[in-house]
Amino acid sequence: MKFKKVSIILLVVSLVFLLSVSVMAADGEIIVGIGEEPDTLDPNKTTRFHSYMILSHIIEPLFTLDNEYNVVPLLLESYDWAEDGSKMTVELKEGIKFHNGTEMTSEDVKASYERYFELSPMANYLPGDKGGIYQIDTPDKYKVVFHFENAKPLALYHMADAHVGIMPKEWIENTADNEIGITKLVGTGPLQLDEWISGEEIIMSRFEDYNHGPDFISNQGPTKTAKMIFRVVPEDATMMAELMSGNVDFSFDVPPSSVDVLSKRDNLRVETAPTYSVQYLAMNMKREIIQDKKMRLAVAHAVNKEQIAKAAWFGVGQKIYGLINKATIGYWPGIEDVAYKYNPEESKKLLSELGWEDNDGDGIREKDGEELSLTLITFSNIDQWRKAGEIVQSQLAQIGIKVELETAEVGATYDRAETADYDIGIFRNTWWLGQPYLRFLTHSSGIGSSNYGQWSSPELDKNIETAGDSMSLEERTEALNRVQEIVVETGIWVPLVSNAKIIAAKDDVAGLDELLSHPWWPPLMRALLLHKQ
Amino acid sequence: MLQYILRRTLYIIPILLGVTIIVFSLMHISGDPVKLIYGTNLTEEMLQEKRHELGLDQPIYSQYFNWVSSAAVGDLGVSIRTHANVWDMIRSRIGATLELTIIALFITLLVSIPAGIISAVKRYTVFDQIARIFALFWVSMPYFWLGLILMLIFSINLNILPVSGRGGPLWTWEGLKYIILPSLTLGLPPAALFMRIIRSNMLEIINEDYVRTARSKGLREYNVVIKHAFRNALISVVTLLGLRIPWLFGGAVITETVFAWPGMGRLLVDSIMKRDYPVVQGVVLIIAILVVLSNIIVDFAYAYLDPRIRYD
Repeated sequence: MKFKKVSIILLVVSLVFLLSVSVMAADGEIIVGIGEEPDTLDPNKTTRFHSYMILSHIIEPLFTLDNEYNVVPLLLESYDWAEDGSKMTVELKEGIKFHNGTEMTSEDVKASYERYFELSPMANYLPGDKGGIYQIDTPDKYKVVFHFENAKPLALYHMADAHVGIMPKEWIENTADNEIGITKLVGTGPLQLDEWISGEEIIMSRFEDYNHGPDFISNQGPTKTAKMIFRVVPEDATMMAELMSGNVDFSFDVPPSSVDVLSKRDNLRVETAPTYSVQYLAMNMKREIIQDKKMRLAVAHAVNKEQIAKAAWFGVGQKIYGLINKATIGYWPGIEDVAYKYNPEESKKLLSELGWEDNDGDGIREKDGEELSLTLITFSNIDQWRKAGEIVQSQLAQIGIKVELETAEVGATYDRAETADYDIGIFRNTWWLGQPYLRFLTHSSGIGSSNYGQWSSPELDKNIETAGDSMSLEERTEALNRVQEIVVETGIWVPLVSNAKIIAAKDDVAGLDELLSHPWWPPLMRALLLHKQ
Repeated sequence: MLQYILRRTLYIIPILLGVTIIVFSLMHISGDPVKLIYGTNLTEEMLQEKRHELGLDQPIYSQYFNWVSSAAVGDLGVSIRTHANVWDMIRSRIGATLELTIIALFITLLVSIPAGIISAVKRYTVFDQIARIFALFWVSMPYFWLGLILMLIFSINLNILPVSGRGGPLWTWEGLKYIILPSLTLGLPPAALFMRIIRSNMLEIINEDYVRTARSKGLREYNVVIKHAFRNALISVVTLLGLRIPWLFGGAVITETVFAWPGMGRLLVDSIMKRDYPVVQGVVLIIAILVVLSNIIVDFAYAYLDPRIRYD
């Protein structure tokens, strides 16, 4: 009998111990190394990637994107969108709490959208003056009605962007503008802002009332980790040292050059995947020499993208075929058949057909006493771009084109591209949604500014517009595919390499596999899933 | 003396004006910050609106005049990037920079003075030879490289010091352990230079008549070296100190970046990269003030150390 009692007590003690260990394991803190300090965490003011990635743990939009890029409700029960796109009625989930304890209502949604329209540099699609939402009604506590000026078929995607995150109306009104996103931030997200120590770290803790995570995530809340601390480590070599020494648990700012070294560490897991950020070569159609398609194709065939991915990107970048890649919404797989293949012999043939020959044996082709020379511009302050410039310079030299490589920092390079002061250039773009991105780069309205190729056609314009305006998904898809085809077929834009997102995590960080199942590794999943084992 | 202090203080004004004009011009010819911040998100029309909002569409001289007149009353403006008050941003970082530079300076003096004196007194001994080789080694080592090597040895291989960041108060181990590597990185290379200067000055001085006289009077060697020789060698150390203080702030910019030390140097680097004009101008102005003030203090130290120097 005594033995039985002792056994039961031991069993209970063991269970309590095991339970407490498992609770402890789910607690703790995760130190995330970030390569750049956010400018502000105000969702309506920032345009920076790092700010967005960090504020998205605190602030949530109405919708989110699941593993297959479908827009799914996050803060709402349901929505009804009129077929002609003129009105969207949203039923909010009841009982969603802000970090300050108040309940989210339709008035908060209205106030947040209005602040976004007023302040955000990113608000270039949804606002009324852009043909979007001109009126927001709040018939009851949980119902919001958005009225659209014109059909805005991509509105759902924009409404799934944390730049239009929901904050409490009363809090917005009673908080000084220069405090929002700097010392204070209140949202509905799984983590709440505790403190931002300038230059050092941003400390966030678990929001205990969070329970509305989307179904595609195994944990709907609250977070498994008690704290998440974002430590600023601006130098690549220092970030590598922090990961190697184990002072940082997780980082999504791993420099490509350190992947090889970090992958060999027993206590670290390193994963890479393509991002929607791409590197591409553009040719300036205002230059006479570029206007001949044979010249453009000669350049396009001479560029070995794999070599760029290997040498400039340390093997973590991936060769791409179109201006938008697999990680971007709207990607068309058919582009792989359209893209020009690496074929320097074809390039040489095309140049000879144009009358460019190397008569004096110096390796550079000439015509009418003039050398075949092109000016290549790119960024001096981003390694992967400067190196890609050097590689393209040597690749074009192999077919007899002399390339004057002129590098400058990002802003100065774009100044030259916009004013058509170059022959060929290597640029970048980062946009997760295909249509607005292609519109920005290739629509005739961008000539003289963002259309660095300085060229467009009525067919291209028409398809870009259809891809953005039609309420029919089929029509939009078809038009966007055609845009991708035209862009590559002209040879004006030569897609090169997609950037790689890289994460490194210590082996005691759990939840990584599920996070990696989403193509974007989004902050919401990071917050809800990652914890120390 | 008072007249001298006043005159030196008034010199600050043209120096600071010169510095601000150079920085202002350099920043403005480096390109358009609006395009860098908002470039791929706004149309040309919206970019123009932003420029107008930030006053960047005004002529450069008028932008400079506005900035200088505000700075004169303590208003350094608002960051283009963060929308925060520039002075608040600097204030939150200045303590970390001063902490690092003062400790680095302390290390410089702590290492260089005894090593320089011993090297001179024990000329051509093993100690002297080793000290000179080490001095040559340290003085030719770039800050960032030294920082990474120290990091590799003490943080990754030995795992006894943290890689980067800033801990708690300095009087606790939690705070102290974070400053050891950055302050060694910043303090050791100038220590090598100081040591060489002290050594060569001491070598000259210990052969002077008055030192010989002191010895012949039967004074203890310690008193001869420290009170008679070293005090006179200090003048050149102080001169060098005045010249090296700007370098110390320059070195802090690199050291703070390598060690993620949250000081003004890193704020400056971040702001230059993002073309955040108001912050760059503000940080440079504050660093210029600190450098000018420290040089004035050095000038006053001459009078204390060498009574022959008169300022009136």
